[in-house]
Amino acid sequence: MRGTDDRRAQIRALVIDSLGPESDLPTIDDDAALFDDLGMDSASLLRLVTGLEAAFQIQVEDDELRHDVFQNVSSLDDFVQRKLG
Amino acid sequence: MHDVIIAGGGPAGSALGSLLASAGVDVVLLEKEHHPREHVGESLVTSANLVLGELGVLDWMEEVGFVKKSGASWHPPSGSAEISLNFAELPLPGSDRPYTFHVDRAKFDHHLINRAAELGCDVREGARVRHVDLNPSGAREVHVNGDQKSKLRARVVVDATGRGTLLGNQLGIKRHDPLFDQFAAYTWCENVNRGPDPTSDYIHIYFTPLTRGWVWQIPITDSITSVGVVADKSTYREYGDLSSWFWDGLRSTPDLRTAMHEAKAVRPLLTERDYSYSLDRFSGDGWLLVGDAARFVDPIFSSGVSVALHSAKFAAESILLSLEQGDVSHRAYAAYEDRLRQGVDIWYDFIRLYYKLMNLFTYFVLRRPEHRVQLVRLLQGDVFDRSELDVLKAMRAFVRTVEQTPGHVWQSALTDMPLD
Repeated sequence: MRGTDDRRAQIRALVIDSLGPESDLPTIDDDAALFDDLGMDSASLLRLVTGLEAAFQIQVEDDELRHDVFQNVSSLDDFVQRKLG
Repeated sequence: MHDVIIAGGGPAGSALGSLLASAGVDVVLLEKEHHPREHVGESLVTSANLVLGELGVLDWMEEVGFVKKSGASWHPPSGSAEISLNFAELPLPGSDRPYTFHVDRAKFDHHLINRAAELGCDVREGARVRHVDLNPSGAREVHVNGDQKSKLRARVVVDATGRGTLLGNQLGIKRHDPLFDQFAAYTWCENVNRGPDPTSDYIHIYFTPLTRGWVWQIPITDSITSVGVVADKSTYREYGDLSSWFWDGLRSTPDLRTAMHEAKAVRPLLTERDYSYSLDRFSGDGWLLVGDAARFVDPIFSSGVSVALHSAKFAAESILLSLEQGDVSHRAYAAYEDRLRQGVDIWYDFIRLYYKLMNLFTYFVLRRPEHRVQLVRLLQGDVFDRSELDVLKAMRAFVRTVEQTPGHVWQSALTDMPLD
């Protein structure tokens, strides 16, 4: 489905951007763990949350910063879909 | 007999001496050392300008070449980032300039004590106050050692002895803070890479991986930067070696390595510990405490000199009234006590919340644009004569959300600082 592929690709790109130039990743697996595998920290999470809010016009609440949401690209995609739906 | 004797010639004592002498009070200021002398606590907040302006020293501070402080920057312990707040975003009411100064305390304190003398305060250096007979029903008797061994009498005695807490120790009313047990090592360095404009002359705070750990970077001159490594005392005990603890600290994060990789100390390392405490009371019959002699919490927000100056201003007002009314009993100083306590309580709350969040503080700052205004004002020392602050409530609520949301990503980032 074209729409969801686009959304997922956008999220993947946002994650890569948020990790910063030092991460040097051309692409990432949708199930790579953001914190454990990809080295996400407070600075990169902040960039990611801001990016998601701007890209999808959603508001990420403080109590939504959970591991089950910010687990990997797939879980983020589910989260964004729920927020949009 | 004198009207007032002030023990201690740092910023609090000198400011008080200036204000009282200007009002025609017979005031003696006793300072144990001979200025100039070095002292820690080199960055100010803009609220300090309000009192410095009253003392008539702000023009001198511009002319003497202290580095202007226009804001503050924070760096996370991992990755590379800089979160900055510029004081000009919200200039402090009453301050005629949207910046303050970082100061060489030897020069600053020396000028302040000279200013007191210039305004008519009887300043005596090399005079260490050993003991005060408080004599609730009579005059206060001050026992002085040093070059000027003597006994002096006054209607009112003010303890401005800083962390020496003369009366706090004498009366047994000093309480070490149960929550803060930090240790700091600091010196002056050359070749610190302060970073690009416009933040190179800000105070920079670098969070480190140590428990409650951070580093201060304070510009003192074009070439000299004050650098301090701070963390929970237990981290130092585990290290055992001061120099390693300090220099490893300056290599412990990417941004610190960028700033400090060529840093060279130009003075010996000094340390501070056991510096978080409060006194049960700030006044009594014929006596008051000002500045650090009343309370000190933590240097993280550079509030110390501002508290010293404001407490001196409040004390001057109270003392003048008490002398006019012929009542120097503790009742006369209850308003002073409340006013000072209210302000330092706000600082305490803010500092505690900050240490709870540590590098999540920067996350909070950026995610709460509606609180940025209050935060900028708070960071400038606007804590006195005001009520509960929304930003502190919001910080607490943020902490609660993190603590109470199952699986929250930040639960392990919160420190164990209790909030009640």
